[in-house]
Parts: sequence; C-alpha cells; structure tokens
Amino acid sequence: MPGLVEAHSHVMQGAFWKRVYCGYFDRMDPEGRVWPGLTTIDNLLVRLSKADREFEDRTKPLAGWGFDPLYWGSERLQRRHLDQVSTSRPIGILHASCHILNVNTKTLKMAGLLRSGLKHPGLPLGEDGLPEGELRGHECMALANRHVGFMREELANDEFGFRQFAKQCVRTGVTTATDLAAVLPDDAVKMMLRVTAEQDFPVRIAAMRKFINLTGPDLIRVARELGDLSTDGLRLGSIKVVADGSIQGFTARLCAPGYFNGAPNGIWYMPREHIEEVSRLALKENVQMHVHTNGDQATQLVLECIQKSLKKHAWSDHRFTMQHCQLASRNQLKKMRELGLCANLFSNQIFFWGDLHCKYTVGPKRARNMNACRSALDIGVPTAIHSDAPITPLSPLFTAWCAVNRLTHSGQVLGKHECITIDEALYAITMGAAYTLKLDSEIGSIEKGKRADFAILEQDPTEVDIKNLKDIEVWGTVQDGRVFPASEQ
Amino acid sequence: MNQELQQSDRIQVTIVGGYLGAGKTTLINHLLRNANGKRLAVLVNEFGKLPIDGDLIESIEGEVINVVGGCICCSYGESMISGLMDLTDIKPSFDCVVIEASGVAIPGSIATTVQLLDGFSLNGIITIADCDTLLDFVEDPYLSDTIKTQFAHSDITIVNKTDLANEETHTAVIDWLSQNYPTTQLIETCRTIVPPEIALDLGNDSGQRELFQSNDSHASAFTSTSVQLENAMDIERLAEALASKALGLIRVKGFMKSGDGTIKSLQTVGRRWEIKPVQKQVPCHMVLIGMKSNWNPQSLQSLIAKFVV
Repeated sequence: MPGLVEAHSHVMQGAFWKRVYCGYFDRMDPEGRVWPGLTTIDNLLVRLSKADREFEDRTKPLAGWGFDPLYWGSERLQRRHLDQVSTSRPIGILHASCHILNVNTKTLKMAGLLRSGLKHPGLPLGEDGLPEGELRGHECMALANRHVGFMREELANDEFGFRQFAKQCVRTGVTTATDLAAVLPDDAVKMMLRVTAEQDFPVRIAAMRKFINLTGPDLIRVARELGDLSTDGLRLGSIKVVADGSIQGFTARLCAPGYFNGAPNGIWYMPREHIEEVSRLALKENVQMHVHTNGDQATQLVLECIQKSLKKHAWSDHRFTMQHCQLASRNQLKKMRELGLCANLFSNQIFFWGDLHCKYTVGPKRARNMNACRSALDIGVPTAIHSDAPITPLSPLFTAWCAVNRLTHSGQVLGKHECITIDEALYAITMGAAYTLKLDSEIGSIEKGKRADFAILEQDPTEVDIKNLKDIEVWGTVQDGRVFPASEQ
Repeated sequence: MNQELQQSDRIQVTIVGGYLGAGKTTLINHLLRNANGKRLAVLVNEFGKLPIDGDLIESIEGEVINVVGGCICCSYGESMISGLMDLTDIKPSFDCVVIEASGVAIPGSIATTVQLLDGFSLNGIITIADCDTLLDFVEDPYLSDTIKTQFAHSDITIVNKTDLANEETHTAVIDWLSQNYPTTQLIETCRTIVPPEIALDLGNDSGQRELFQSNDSHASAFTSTSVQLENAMDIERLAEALASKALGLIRVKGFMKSGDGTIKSLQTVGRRWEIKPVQKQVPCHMVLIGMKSNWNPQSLQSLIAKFVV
C-alpha cells in the first residue's frame, strides 16, 4: 500500500531509545527488539539495575521514559525505590505523558531540592518533610531535567536519535513523518538537512517551527527562511502554535461543564492576541499553521481567531490544521469545514487514556465523543489521525486500529458511533495525513507522477479482521524508490 | 549550586504579571532606567518582544540584550526555570531578577516555583491591571478565570492607565479589586511610574537616598520615611504590624537587631513579610514606603517603638 504518513510525531522519540523504556505496554525499539511492559515497581527496578550495571560511567545519569503508573493502582514510585538502583548517579524516569518526572535522591540533591520547607503543588513531600522524588509539571521538572539528560535542546540535535527514529519509521511502514514542535536551532537544521540527504536515509521529515522564544512577526519570518531551505528529505516552512495543555494533565481548556472530577479549568499557553496575530500573518505570508488544541474551549477560541484573520487575508488553500482537537463538537467541526481547516485527531488516546477520560477528565458521555473521526468525515473535514510519538507508540496501523475499533485498555468500546471503516482509517494514515502536510500531490497514494513510497505489509489490511489491524507485520518500506527491509534496520 | 548559600545572598526575584497591554513593558523599562547601579536581569515570556527602549540598549547578542548599567534582558523560551538557572552561570551575579510573565501566565504559580530554586528568593508579585479594560476581561468567558487567578496572589496590584478610564469604570475597578482581593496592596498610576523600590530590592544602602521622584503626578504621590533602629526589636511582631492592611504600607525594608542579638533583615511587600538572617555588618535602619495621602511619620515612629525589646 502507499507509504504511511505520521502527521503528528516528534523525532525525539528516537533519542528516547537511548534511555531505558519503562512503559506498561510492550514496545518495539528501533532495532526491532520488543521491550516487555513493566507492571510493578520491582520489575522496573530490575530493569533499571541491569541498565545501571551495563552503563559503566558512574557519573553519567541513568534516564528512563514512557513510565505509566496509572495502570499500577495505588503503588507509587518514590525516590527510595530509585535509590535501590543507585545512590551515586542521578536517575530520572519520565512519565509517558512527559509531564511528570521521578528522580532519585542524588538528582534531588543536584537540583537543590533535598531540603525541608519546600511547598509546591507539583512536589509531593514525604513524612520526613523532604520531597518524595516526584516532580509534576514542566516547571518542577525543569529543575532536574538537565541533571538526567532530558533537556529539550539536547534532544533536538541528537543525530543518533534522529537516525533511530528513521529506523522505527521503516519498522512501522512510515515513509513520511513529522517533527511537529521543533525549535529548529541552526545546528539541528544543519544536521537534519545533512542526514536526510544521505543515500540510505529512509524517511521524509516535515518539521514545524514551534511558536516560542520569538514574536509572531519573527516566527513568520523565520518560517519563511526555513522554507527556503526545504529539500526532498526535509520539509520546512510551516509553524506550530500551542493554545492549551493536555486533557489527562487537566491543563486543557474545556467549555462548561469543565472537568468531570471538578478540577479547575486548564491553562492557556498563549494569549489569544498572539494566536490571532500569528494566524493573520501566516495567512498573509502563506505560511501553513498547525495549532495544538485539546480542550473544546481552546478549539473554539482558535476557530474564532482564524475566522477573524481569514476576513483580513483570505488564502483559499491554507489548510491550517487543528492538532489533537480531541473534544471538538459537531458544531466546531462544521466551522472547521467552513473555514477550510483540517483536523488531525488523536485516536491513540482512546486506547491509552480512554478509561481515564471516562473516570476523571471528561466523564463517559464526552469521552464517547472524543476524537470524533466519524463526525469529522461525515461533515467533510479533511481528517488525519496520529500517535504524537513518543507520547504513544509510533505505528500508523495501530492508530488506524484505534480509530476503527475505539477500544480502551480495559476493553470497552468508547463511542461506537464514532468508529470509522478500515478503508477510511487507511486513507487517514496516508492521503488524509499527506493532505494536512500539503504533500498530497507527491505522496499518500500510488499514482503516476507521485513518489514511489510504499509500506510493504505481510497481510492485506483490507482483508484482516478489524480486531487484528494493529498486528499486521511490516516487512519494510520503499521510500522514493529505495527499498528498506525492516530486518536490515 | 552552593548548599550553604546564605539567605541574604540569594538573588531577589520580582514577578510582573498582568494581561497584554496592562503596562508590564513600561514598568520594566522604568525599572531598568532607575536601577540605581544595581545589576538587574529581566526575563521575558516566550512570545513577547524583548521589551527594551532603544536608548537603553547597549548591544544585542542572540537572545540577550545588554542594557546600560550591566543589566540584561533575555527571553526564557521553553522554561522560565531553566532561564533562571542559566542566570546563575553569569558572573558577577545579578542583584535582582524581574520576570515578565506572559499575559496568560499565573504569577502566583510562577512564584511558587521560584521558591523551589536554590539561590533565589521571592521579592514580590506585582500584577498590573489596565483600568480601562480590566472589567471587560473579567467578563470574557475565555479569560475570566485566568484573569481572576492572576490577582489571587498579587502582593501589589498596580491599577494602571487610570487617566484613560472614566470615573465610573475607575471606581468599579477599585471596588472589584478591593472586594475580591482584600490582601493585595493597590496602587494607582497612569504609566506604571512607581518608585523602583516598590518593585525591586535595591539593597542595603543606608537609606539616605531620596525616593525616586518624577514630574508625573502619580509618582509624586509616593513617599518614604527612613528610621534608625538602635535597639533590638521583636521583629516578627513588628513585621506583622507593618504588613497590616490598616497601615497600608507598600513596602518596608530594614535591618535590625533581634532579641538574641543577631542582625536580621525584614522586608514587607504589601501584606506579605519575610525575615532573613544577615551575615554581614550593616547599619540598622529601616525604609518605609507608602502613599502621601495617608502618611504620618510620627505615628509610624511610635508604632515601631512599641516593638523594642
């Protein structure tokens, strides 16, 4: 079939594999090795201790990622557990959500946090009045990130990680992927340009410049300059704007009635005026914009901003894309169609956090309407679906399975009325995704004049039982006419 | 970082919050202009322009603007905390840091995090309200809760641009703020012209310096008194008294002997107060800043005298 397109991922997924996988679910690494999921603290400590022994430089940090204790019940990881692995080197374990970090005593010391008298909602204290080692939220995590190797700048310019990401793409049938929130410092751009130009680099990367660290007008200028550097292998020139936080982190902005468990509404990541300004300039300068919204209030606000901007600068084919857009209502989807927006929905959430959304965040009624692929397609919104790797695993066939079955981890079907067919899901992970990247004239289907990008599967996905869609083995890919067997990665 | 860092050596952090257009940038330029030889570092939020007036800029190096008088201004990008931590690598170190929060950030939550950082201590939270538009934002369904939370932990709230608002709006804003945030100290200005001592800890000079003056009628509405403190004081009770709402002092900074003979620093910002040990020898005195409209140096003197031990 056509090469698969992952329209919302982060290439730092590759660099994460230099660290220890600590997730609850089995996950395949770029070399094809499956790391079994960890279901108890003891399992976790055994894996970390083994990594500690193999990692000879005793001064270097030991880092883990993908940790997902939500499924563990009441058992909570504390620094005393991680101290059993090592008291001499810093240890940091990043949660799957990327919003919480667990550290050992050594890391706390290095971060200047092994003190009493600290008071912060993101820093739970033990009976001794000292932090337990859990750092919640980006600001708390920022105190320790540099000691355990989770600095975003480092991850952005990690060539090894970039190559690992590409290997993973081959294993999952992906021939075009995205780096959806890149800061794109010069050295990282140079590295990516060089590596993607290599004869045997197997994936095309579209990298969007994140709206951070500069003003709206500067962002548009930088995006246009980056656009001029675009090559076949590295597509630059579009931007990413983040409007709110995440639903499972209770930081997404929700319309009434708000969070199901009564948590206060989430937070805006930037003032409306900035979203408005940047959307206006993007339309004017023909720079494509991707906007992260999770909550329905954020989606509404962004729609209003874009509608206003479109009145000033019409661009018939802007294809601004709402990323995640998980709680979009039918009315909002209609508005998106009217304004010419695309939706890239986060179907993987249904499996990984669907049960949690029912119980805590939005309640069963709204959870059943989350990531409403059926509605989006019926209304006529150009739709893609995504993994947001490393938040959930990179694998478009798995994402398609989620959109087709809408099964949660506990096995319940969450909103049967929003299920889509296999054909529709396969379209979403090829042409649908390519359309949101404005690459649909080059990739996404097997047609004369298009690039020779194929995903080579061991079974025909249109003939398997819908329950087995995620289990289809990938032989490898053909990317731009070059053959890449998964077994050789 | 040095674990033994003395409390008094910590870099003082002032957080300036408020929605877009409230006057944060004007305040920051004003502070840079009147930093009085102190080294000031300004960290701005991730989407704003680096907000420095052209004539103050000495040079620009990447994301850092060098400002006359050894001050700098830089954008903190992904993480305000990382931005602060990076400042500790710069020598000589800064006397004060001002964080300009993004228009939708919650200054109180930034303050909570600053307090986790070794090497820094919170000087105060200043939230600025645009007198003319504040109540519109309070009604805005998207912003209402954010705006309300922004004032929740504000030590000093500057009601700015009072000249642009009509009388009725002006009164309504003051009423709304004083009813909902009884512990915040309200200050009214036209162009955020306030004595820099209100926003910054300008250190332990002997208190002889004149309070910042300007022709702006609002700036001249402030006044200060310097008090020599020869005797040991009951500092905690004094602090409570000086921070009381009834007294309405904007800021107090002083050094004094405590009952056990050690020297301590006392600082109040609106209703909040803080006492820290001091290692070096400093003259014992105190500067009090307030509004001319309710200023009575004699009664302040006698109030302070009550806490001599």
